[in-house]
Amino acid sequence: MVKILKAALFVALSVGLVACSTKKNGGMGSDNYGVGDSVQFYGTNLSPQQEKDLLAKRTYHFGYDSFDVNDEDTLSIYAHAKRLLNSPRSKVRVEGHTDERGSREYNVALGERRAQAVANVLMLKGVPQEQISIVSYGREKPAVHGHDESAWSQNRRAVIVYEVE
Amino acid sequence: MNIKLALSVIFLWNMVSQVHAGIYVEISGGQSSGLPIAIVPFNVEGADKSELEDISQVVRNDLDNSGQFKATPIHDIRQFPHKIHQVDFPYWQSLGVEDVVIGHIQKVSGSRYSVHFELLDVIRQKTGNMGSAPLLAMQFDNIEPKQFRALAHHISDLIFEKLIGIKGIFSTRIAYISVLPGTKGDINTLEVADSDGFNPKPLYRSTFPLMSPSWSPDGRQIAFVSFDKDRASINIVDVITGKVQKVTQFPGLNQAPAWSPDNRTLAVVLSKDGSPKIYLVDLVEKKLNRLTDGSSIDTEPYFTPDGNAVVFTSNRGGKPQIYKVALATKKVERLTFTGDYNAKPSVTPDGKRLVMLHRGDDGLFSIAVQSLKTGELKLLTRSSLSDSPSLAANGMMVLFGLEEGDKEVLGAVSLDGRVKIRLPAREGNVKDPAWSPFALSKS
Repeated sequence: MVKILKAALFVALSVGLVACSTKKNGGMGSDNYGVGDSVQFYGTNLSPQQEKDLLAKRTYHFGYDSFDVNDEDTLSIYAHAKRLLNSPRSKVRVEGHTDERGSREYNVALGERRAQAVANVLMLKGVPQEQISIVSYGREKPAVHGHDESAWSQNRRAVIVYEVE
Repeated sequence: MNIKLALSVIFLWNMVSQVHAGIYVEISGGQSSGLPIAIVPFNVEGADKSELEDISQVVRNDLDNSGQFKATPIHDIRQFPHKIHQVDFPYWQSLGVEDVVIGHIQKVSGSRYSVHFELLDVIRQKTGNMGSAPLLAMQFDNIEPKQFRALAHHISDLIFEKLIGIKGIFSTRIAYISVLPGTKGDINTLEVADSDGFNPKPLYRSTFPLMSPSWSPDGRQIAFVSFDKDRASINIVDVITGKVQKVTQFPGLNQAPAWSPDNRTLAVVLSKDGSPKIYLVDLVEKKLNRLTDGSSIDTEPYFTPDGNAVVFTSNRGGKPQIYKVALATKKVERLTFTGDYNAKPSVTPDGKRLVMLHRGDDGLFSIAVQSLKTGELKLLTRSSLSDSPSLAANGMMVLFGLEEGDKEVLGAVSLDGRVKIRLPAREGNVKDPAWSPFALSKS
């Protein structure tokens, strides 16, 4: 079910991208594909408010030892991809983080895999690499202090940060 | 009993010096054995004893904390000789000590002192003839009071080497990251201090995280990772001048710097070509060469003492394990097979043992030592979360990071497991320690 939804979204987004680049070539303004323009981007399922909510989400959590973006997060990352495509001057930094267990430097490498996973989704949607930078803090910047699974699960994350809005 | 007394002495010592020290030393696991030695308080002539650093006490703490000695607590000492002919050897033998250290400090002029000490073998000097020479007898002239601590560590090194046969590490220093809460978030500082936590000196400060300090083999520089403006970079700071130079700032990872024994090459981890891989930076010719390949995570490089290979952590087999790559052939060999998480390797100076972070079956992260010959693994710590092991220059102790509740402190453990030491921060947290080499340029 989720897979089908994802596939549908992918097609919908691709259409949006084609439209976008056509428009760019034509030298027209880019407002047509802004937040409020839900129909051409997602199909008819999402209201402007829903899309706004998707953009409000910037933190994506990961399973233990996992670098796979959760299915329920892809929609939100797509929304950010669209936003970045619509405003080429925007720049994001994707931060990767891990929980506190294990070696500091190995965790930095693991955190980068998470940041890279989110960045890959953005790039898969056509966001140019120049708009994305990646940094991994490993376990050095926990979102939550604590030594149990509830803290750890909140700390295993990637975060999209707009450096240029 | 003895440990308890030693602890109270250390506590007192901490109270006195609280103003200077960023971290302090505390024995957390008892040494039950060790060479029994008595360090008699040094006699002071021509100056007020209370205004001078107590050299004998620094020596006593040094030797006690090494795990190789059991120093007689000062409260148990009833005789205070400072010259060899004053020493009542049967008395010291009755205390069960094998060696006695006596000393004499004399004010010569203005702020200049001479310091004399002798190391005496109780058994040999008691039963032998009166003429038998002390094990050590040394005089230091032109010493200023501010040099007393350094001199005390030097004396500890001399005694240690004479009696144990291995170079002491009391004059070495440690680097670590101190984290203090600030008004706009944490203040992170790369700091260096004496190996007992005294004389802390900030070298680099940032509101962004700092990581992975690594001493150059000549002790003059420290490589470290900064995240200033949310961009990772590898930097080198001069320990004396504090001057910082940037080494790498590629897109992606710039981490885990480690020096080659000849001081010329820095092994680093970059992900600029995709996966985290180990690269060698030639610091003289400013050249970059890739050392490992593939799509795995390769990180935490550490040069073997002969400089011919680099050991590192890799998940090329699925889970993090320790591997070794020969520089000449780039041939990779796996070194660890016990458990499913081994990381952050270092190799003892004799090249025979691997020190690393090991996750046990209980899920706890311990500091472990593995024989490279037999593969036998021994856990050195078994409490809570440990990380970042860093070997002392003589290979006898490991410094590491330790989480205690919401506090991060440093710990040290001897490779024989005999002594465990805590080095907590007076304020905030300390983490990511690195022990300096012998060759030091003191500021």
